Amino acid sequence: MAVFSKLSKDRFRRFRMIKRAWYSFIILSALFVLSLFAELLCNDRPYIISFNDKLYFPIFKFYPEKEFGGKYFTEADYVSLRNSDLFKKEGNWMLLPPIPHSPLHSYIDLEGTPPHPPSAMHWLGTDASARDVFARLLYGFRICMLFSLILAGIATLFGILIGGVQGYFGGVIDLVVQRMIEIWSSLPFLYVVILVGTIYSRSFMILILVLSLFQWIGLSYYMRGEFLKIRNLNYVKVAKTMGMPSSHILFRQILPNGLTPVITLLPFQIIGGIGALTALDFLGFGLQPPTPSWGELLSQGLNNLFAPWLAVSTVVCLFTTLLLATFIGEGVREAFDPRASTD
Amino acid sequence: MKSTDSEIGTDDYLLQVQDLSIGVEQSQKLLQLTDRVSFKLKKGEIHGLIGESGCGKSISSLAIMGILPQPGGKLLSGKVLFKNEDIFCLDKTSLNSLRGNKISMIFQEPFAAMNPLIRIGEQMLENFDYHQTKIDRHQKIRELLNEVGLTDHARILQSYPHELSGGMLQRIMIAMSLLLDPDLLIADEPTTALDVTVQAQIMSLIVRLCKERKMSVLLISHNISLMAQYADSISVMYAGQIVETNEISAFLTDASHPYSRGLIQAIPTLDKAGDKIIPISGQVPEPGKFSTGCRFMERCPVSAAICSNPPPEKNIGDLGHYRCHY
Repeated sequence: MAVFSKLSKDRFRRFRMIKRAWYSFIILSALFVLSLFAELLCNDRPYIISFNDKLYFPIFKFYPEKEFGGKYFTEADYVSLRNSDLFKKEGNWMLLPPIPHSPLHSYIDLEGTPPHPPSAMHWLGTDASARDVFARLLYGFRICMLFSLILAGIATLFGILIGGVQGYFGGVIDLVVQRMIEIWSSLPFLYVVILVGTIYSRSFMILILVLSLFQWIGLSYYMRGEFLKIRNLNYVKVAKTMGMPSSHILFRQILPNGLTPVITLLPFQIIGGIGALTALDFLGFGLQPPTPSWGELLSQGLNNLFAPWLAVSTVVCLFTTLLLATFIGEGVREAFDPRASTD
Repeated sequence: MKSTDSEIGTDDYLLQVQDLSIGVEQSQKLLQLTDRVSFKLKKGEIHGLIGESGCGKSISSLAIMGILPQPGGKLLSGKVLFKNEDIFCLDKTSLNSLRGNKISMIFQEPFAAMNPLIRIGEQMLENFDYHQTKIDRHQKIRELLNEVGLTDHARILQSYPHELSGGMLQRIMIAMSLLLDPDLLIADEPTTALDVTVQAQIMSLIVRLCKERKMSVLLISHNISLMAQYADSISVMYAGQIVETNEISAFLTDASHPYSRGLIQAIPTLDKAGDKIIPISGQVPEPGKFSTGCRFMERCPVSAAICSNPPPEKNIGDLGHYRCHY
């Protein structure tokens, strides 16, 4: 595949030269990759437990409570285990992840009432349900990023497909589809989310589905324009005179040449995704609790104004992520600007 | 589909364009671009189609392959018979198998005619993908590159279009159009974008290949000296109509239509050096603003009152004809 033409390489080089964008890209990607391994970094399950001269690997394997002297067949509660008298014997030890908290575990037996302020144990304190805020922020970041990446992917696909068909076939198809998009885009998005969320459950997939019904519209306008422009270029005519079928012309000849708006809009699509998910969670129409989410933390922060660590830490995280993504978007746009070309 | 034209054995002709009228629909108005264009091509013949820019040459030539202008292109009347089969009656599949395979085309700007993101080698190979052939693809590409005078195969096939010069790309275009041994080559201003020395090379290459392969060529140009040198017969197009058709030698010595005479007088030649070249004054009228009578009337040096009526078609000898009141 010859996707990396000289032009693409040039653009990539120009993107790297925009330091702010390039470092933002590295930082955000690193954070995202790190968050993919959140279970290993931030978990209340130990890597290894040595209990009564036997080794256990709870992070990879399920052990019932019975194994550690409990009564039930449900999963062992490792946080209570490490504080239990049964465990505090000679020769028993456990190796914990660097941040030994799960985003779902409530530390109800901590002193005072939740939310607990930051401490050596809980760096950013706990939320109203006594769950560790740092763990929730980390897992929330992963969900946010995954959500917006998948959403951007689906939206891009639909945007290309619909805009491409409009631009390539033109005429009546273009006209009809354009009118339908206009009607579609005037649907009040929030009500659709609330309605669908009420009828079906408010799951990750349903939310992506509903949001992707609307996210593609902006991109489809750009793609339509690109296809309209490119289909009249000579190499497309040549491909036609060579007897190549429409599918080949669309996907092999036109699409690779019309990808500029897709790439320049992608970071902004991701920003839009993060914003949308956080807003929905904040309003309570987003992901089902107890899913760790930034929007939900923000709304907790609003309800517990005496516990500023909730709102402040979340706002800082959200702000940083959006800022990094914006820097990347800016850099990409600048790198793709034909007028910025040096040669 | 058999032709109704029975004066001469119709099977002698590879291509017959009969009364081809094409229009485009723009904001609910129909604009006629070509008006009853007719010409014929024998096997192995080079037929020139000449005329100023915007008189419908390229539109007619693309229509030969069944490609109408986008968006809104419409076939108003007429037919294109290729090997006695009407192009516009073919379904999509057989049309696609004809294009590139039996009829192929060279475009005027080689830079614009190549996809900037695909290596030359891949672009050439892709042309085989949609046509059934038993020939060795790589062998064929190498053979043709040799024929068009390109020897540095490995480098060329690995290059992107922007890494090669215009002359090289035009040769590659020609090689590409010959990959599947077409019977008809449409060369739409094949040399306009090139400098003069390369022009001569490219043209003699086309002529040689045409003679060797018994291929017919429809040569489209606005350069009459090019036609004089290479074409066997010629059709002159003006404002969407063919105004004169003749053998090239007869045409050059004794053109009948005032527009043809104007074109010939406008050629700069060495023996006329020092004399003023006589240009044809004015411009080709835009489509939609054609007069109902003779379309050349406003620019014609011999126009008279009668010219506001549609001009009759008159024969010259056996093969030629022209469209004028005089």
